[in-house]
Amino acid sequence: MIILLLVEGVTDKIFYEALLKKLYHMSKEDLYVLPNEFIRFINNVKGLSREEERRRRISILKLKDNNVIIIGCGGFKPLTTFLGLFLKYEKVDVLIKKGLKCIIVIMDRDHNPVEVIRSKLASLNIEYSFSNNSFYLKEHGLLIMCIAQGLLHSRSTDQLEDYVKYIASKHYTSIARALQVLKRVLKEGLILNNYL
Amino acid sequence: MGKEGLGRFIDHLIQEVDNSIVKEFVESELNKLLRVLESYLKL
Repeated sequence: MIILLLVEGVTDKIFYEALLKKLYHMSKEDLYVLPNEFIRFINNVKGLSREEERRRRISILKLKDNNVIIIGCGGFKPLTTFLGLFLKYEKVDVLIKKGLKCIIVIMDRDHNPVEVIRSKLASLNIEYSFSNNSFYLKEHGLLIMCIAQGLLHSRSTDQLEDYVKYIASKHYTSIARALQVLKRVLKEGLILNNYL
Repeated sequence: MGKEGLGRFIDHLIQEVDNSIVKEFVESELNKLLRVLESYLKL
């Protein structure tokens, strides 16, 4: 089974790759573990034909017999272009037959991913049913799920940075707390030593 | 910090951070992603 995870930039790709590795202990694999049909499609995408660029922008994560392909498309517009290329690809049904089950599109909240995908599908004349932020493409039997990233609060950037800040603040706060405790314990130890 | 530096920082942060913080974050902010992956990957 294959899941395609499309994100805007390389930094987003790094974030989701690290997250999935951490959560599910997925291993990072070479592009060549994918069925040939996928490699052929990726190699033909403008900007991904060079090995160096592919390595920078694509990560393949594996867990048992399942693969998650994460692609940092190079920004918001390139992501929508990539999705369009994919859906128009003459052999998209072959990719689905070879195991593709779902496309997850993650965009910054300020780009309104649901509306972007809706207008992309309309421009390509693709029929779909919509429920719970997901588009089901009847013709292909494929699910496209939209996720808007960015936290919902007054100082939110509506971007990946919100997530990084959130996790970093939790992480470094706990280290700071640990250092405070350590400092206190050491200080108490010093005071005690003075009395002994 | 350039984009490359930010990427390295993010990778380092996620590797270092306690699993419980990551789980709590994903469950509250990326729950949909979690559910889809878990249902498709049968986790």
